[in-house]
Amino acid sequence: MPDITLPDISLQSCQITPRVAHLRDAYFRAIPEVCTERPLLITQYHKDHGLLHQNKISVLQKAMAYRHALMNRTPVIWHQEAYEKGCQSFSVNDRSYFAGSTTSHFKGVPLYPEYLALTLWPELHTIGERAANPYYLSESDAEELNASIFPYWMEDTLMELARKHYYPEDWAAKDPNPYPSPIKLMEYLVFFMPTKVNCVSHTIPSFTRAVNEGLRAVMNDAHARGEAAQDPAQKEFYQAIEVALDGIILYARNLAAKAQEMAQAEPDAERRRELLDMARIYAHVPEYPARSFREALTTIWICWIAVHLENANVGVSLGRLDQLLHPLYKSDINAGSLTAEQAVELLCCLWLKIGDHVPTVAQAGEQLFGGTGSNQAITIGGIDTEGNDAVNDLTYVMLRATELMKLRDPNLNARYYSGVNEPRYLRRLCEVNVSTGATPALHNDKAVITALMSKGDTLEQARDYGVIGCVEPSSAGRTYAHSGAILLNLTSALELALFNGKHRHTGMSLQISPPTGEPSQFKSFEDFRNAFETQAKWLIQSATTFNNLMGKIHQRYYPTPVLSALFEGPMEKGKDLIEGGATINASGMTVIGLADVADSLSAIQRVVFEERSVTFAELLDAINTNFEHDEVLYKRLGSPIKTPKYGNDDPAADANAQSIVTFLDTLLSSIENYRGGRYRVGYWSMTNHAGFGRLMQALPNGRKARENFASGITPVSGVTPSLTAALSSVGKLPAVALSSGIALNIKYTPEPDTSAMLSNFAASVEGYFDDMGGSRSGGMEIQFNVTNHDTFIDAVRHPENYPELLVRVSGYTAYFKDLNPQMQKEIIDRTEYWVSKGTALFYEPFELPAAERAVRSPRSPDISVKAPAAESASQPTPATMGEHP
Amino acid sequence: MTTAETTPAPEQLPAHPQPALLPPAAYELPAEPLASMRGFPGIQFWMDKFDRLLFGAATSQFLNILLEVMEFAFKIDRSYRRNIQDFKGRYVICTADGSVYESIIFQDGKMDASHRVIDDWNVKVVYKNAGALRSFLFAQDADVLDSLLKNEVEVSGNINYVHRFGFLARDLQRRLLG
Repeated sequence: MPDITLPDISLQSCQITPRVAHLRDAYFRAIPEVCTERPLLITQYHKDHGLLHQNKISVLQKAMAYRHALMNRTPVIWHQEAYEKGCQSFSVNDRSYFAGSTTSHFKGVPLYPEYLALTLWPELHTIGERAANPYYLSESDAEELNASIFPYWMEDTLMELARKHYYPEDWAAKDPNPYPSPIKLMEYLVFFMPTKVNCVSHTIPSFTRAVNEGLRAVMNDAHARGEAAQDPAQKEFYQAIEVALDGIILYARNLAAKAQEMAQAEPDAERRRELLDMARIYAHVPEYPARSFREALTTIWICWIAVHLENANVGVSLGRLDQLLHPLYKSDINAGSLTAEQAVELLCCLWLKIGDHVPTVAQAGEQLFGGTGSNQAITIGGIDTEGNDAVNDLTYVMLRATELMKLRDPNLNARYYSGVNEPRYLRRLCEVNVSTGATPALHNDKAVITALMSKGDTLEQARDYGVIGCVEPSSAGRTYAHSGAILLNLTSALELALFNGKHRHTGMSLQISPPTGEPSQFKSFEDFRNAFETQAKWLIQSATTFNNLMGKIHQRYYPTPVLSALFEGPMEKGKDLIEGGATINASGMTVIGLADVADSLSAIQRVVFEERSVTFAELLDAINTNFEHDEVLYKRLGSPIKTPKYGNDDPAADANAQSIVTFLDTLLSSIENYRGGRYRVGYWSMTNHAGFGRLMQALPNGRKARENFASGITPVSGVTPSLTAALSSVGKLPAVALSSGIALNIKYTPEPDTSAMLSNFAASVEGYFDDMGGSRSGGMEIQFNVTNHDTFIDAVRHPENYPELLVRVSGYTAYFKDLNPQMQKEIIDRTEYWVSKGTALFYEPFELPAAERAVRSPRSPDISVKAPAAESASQPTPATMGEHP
Repeated sequence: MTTAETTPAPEQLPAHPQPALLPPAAYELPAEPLASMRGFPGIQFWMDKFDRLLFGAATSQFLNILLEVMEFAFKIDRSYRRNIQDFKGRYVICTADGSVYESIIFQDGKMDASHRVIDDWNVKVVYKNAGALRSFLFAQDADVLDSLLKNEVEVSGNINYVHRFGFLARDLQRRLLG
C-alpha cells in the first residue's frame, strides 16, 4: 500500500507564504545577469597553472581548479539587488532558506569559456538591448570578459581543440572522400547539432551518499581506495575526488562563516535567528549526514551549485527526490519538527534557487532556440526497485510546490504505473496540469522500464529511472547518458534521398553524401525507402563520428571529478565518468522531424507509386517551387483523407512511422560511443523543430518551405482530428525503439466542468498508456498545454499581461513570452482537443507579423473550421471532416 | 587551408585603394575615446562615413570602408586600440566569386588590411553579398539569423576569431555612433 498519510493530497491548505511571494515576484521581475565570477576564477587558475595550450588536462588538475573556484567564490547568503528589463536595478531583499547561488547574482547566466561563452563576445556592449531575453551585463564586467577572460580561450574552447586535434588530419587523412567532414556538416547547421561543443551535462547525479553519509565519508572512502590502488591513474583519480569534495565543503563553510558574520551584525532578532540557523546548517552539511529534511535539501543545493560549477547548465537533472528525501521528511513530520506547510515553503524556496540561472544563448541562437531554461528535471512517483507503489506524501508536497510556483525550472516529471499507482494520483497529476497549464509531464512506467531493459538495464535499474533534461529516462545516478548528445534533423536525410545526396540549403552544386540514385528512376517505393535509409545511415555515422571525437576531447581536456564523486560507478571503477566510469554508459540522439518524414514517405508511397497520380519528377518540381504552381497537389498532399497521415490510426501511415523508429533504433544500438556504451534514440525536439524547420525547403507531405516541423513524436498539427486516433498511433510505436525518451505534445482546451474534464483527462492518459494486453507498448510519455487558443493569441498581443504563462515546448517548459514568434505560432497552431469529446478544435492559422511569416501554418485548410468567437470559446465546435479536393 | 575556388589570384583583384586621406585635424587630436570627439570636424567625417556604411545601401565597398574606418579608429583611439594590444590574428574575408578579397592581420597592437593573399589564416569568412556580411557583423536579432539561414556567410577555421572580430566591429559602432 502506498505510504500516504495526508488527509488532502492536493494540499489546498498550503498557500504561498509572504516570504515565497516576495521572492517569486522578484524572480519574475529580474532579468538574468551575466556572471563573470566563474570564468574569471577558472581562467586565472588555468593561466597560473599552465593549463592552457596543453595537450591534456588531468582529472587532478581539473579538481584543483574547481576547488580553487569553490573556495574563492563570493559566499552570498541573501541577494540584495537584481536588474529588471531596461537594466534598472531593484532591491531584492532576499530571505530564502537557502544560501549560496549558482552564480553571484540573484538570477544569473553562468559562463563556461571552455564551451560557448565566447559566442557572446560580439554582444558584450549590446546584450542588454536584445528585443528578446536580454541579459544585464555591466560595462566593467563586459570589459573584464573582453580583456581578461575571452582572449585566453580563443584556441582552447573544446570545439577548437577538437578542430585542432582531429580535423583535418584524422578525418581527411582517413577518409579522403569528396564529402564534407562531420565538422563541416555541423557548421552547415542543417544536418545535426552535436551538443558536446556546449556540454555533456545531460545526466542525473546521485545525492544518496551525500545526504545519508555526508561528503566527508565519501572523501574518506576515496582516500582508502586511493591508498589501496596500484594503478597511478586510479590513485590520481581518487585524489581528485578528495580535492573536488574538499572544495564543496570549503564553499559550504564559507557560507556558514558569512552567515555567522552577518548574524553578529544583524539588529533584527528574527533575521538574526535565521542567519544563525543557516550558519549551523552549513557548518554541518554537506560535510556530514543530513539530520533533517531541511539539511538534506541544503546538501542537495550545495552539491548542485558545485555540479554546475563544473558542468554547463544544460539538462543536468536532480532525479527522484521524493524517494531520496522521504525518510527524512517522514521522520521530521513524525517528530513534530516539520509540517507539510513548512515542507512546501522550503521546496518553493528551493525551486526558486534551482531556477536561479539560465543557459548562455547567443544572439542568433535566441532566434532559433530562445526561451529555454536550464532544463533541470525532477522526477516523482512511479514504482520502487521492488515494483511497489513509490508515491508518498512528499510526492504530493512536491506537486503542490510546483502547482503554487508555476516555474519553468525545475521541470517536474511524474511517473505513473497503471494498476500499481492509485487512480487519485493520476487524477492529481492531471489537476496540476490544468492549474499550471503545462506541468508535470507524465511518463508510463511500464513502457519506459521495457525500453530501458531492452538496452541492458537490469529490472531494478530500470525501475529506478529518473528523467533527464526534457523527457529522457535513464537509471538515476548510475547512467551517464548524455541523452541529448546529438540533435538529428531527420528531414535532411529525406532531402539527401530526394536529391541524390545533395541538399537545397547547401546548394545543388555540392555533393553532401554518396549518391543513392535519382528518385525519378526508382521503380518502387522500396527503392526510395532504401535510399532514405542509406542517407540516414550516412548522416548518423557522420554525427556519431563527430560526437565520439568530441567525447575524446572531453576525455583529454574536461574530466569531471565533481560529477564522478556524485555518481554510482566511478568510485568502484576508479575511473572518471568521462572515461566510462559510470555503471551504465550511453549516448543519446534525439530525432527531429519524425512526423514530417513519415508523412512524406507515405505521400510518396501513395501518390507516386501506388496511385501513380504524379511522377516523382513532378513531385520534386512541386516542392522545388514551394507548391506555388500546384495548389491542387499541395492540398491533396496535406489532406489526411487523400494521403495517409501519422496520427490518424491509419495503418499505412503508422507503418511508415514504425518502420523509421525501428530502423533508427537498430542502427544506433549498433554504434559504440567513446565510453564503451551504445547510442539510444529519442524523439523530443525542444525548439529545434522550429529552428531546423526554418532552414528547410518544402517537403512531399505538403509542408511548405521554412515552416515548423511537428514537435517531438507528435503528429503534424492540423491533420489529426481525433484524439483517440492520434494517441493510438503514437501508442503503437514500439517503446524499445524510443529508449532515449519522447515528447508527445497534446493541447487540451480548458473546460467549464473541471471535474468532468479531469475524469476524461485521466482516462485519456490511461488509454494512451495501455499496452492492450501486451499487443502494443503503450505510449511512453505525454505532456500537455492546457490553455485555450484565445489566451495564447492575447498573450502574443499583450505579453506584458502574461509574464508567467507557462507552456510545454517539446520537452521542457518555458514562459510563452520568452519564446520567439515562430515557436509561439507553433504552439498556437498545435491541434487543440476538447478532451471530453475527443475531437479537435481547428482554428484559423495564426498569422505572424509580416516579418515573421516564413513559418508553418497548420496543414489542410480543408478540414479547418473558423475559430469559435471569444465569448463562445468554452463551447467550441468540434471539427468535422469536410470536403476534400 | 586556402581553397583554390575561393582565393583569387592577386592580379585578378582591383588595386587596393589607398587609405582615405585623414582630415589633417585628426592627426592632431589627443588619443582620446572617439565618443568624446563627436562633432569635431575631422572626426565627424568618419562618423558620417560609418553611419552611411551601416544604414545606407550595402555596396561592394562595404568591407573596404569598414576596414578603413577600423584602421583609423585604432590609430587615434587608445582605448579602442587596447582591444588588439596583444592580439595576433590572421583573417581572410572574401566573396565566393573572389571579387572582394581582404586579408587582415592583427599583430603588435596594429591592424594591417590588404588584398595580399595569405594562406595561414586563423579564420576565413566567405560571404555572398555585402548586405549579408553587414547583417552578420552588425545587425540585431533576426537579421543575423537570416544571413545564416540563407547560407550567405560561410566560416572556415577558428570561429572564436569571428566572435572577436564581431566585437571589434560593434565596439567601433558604439564608439563612433554611440
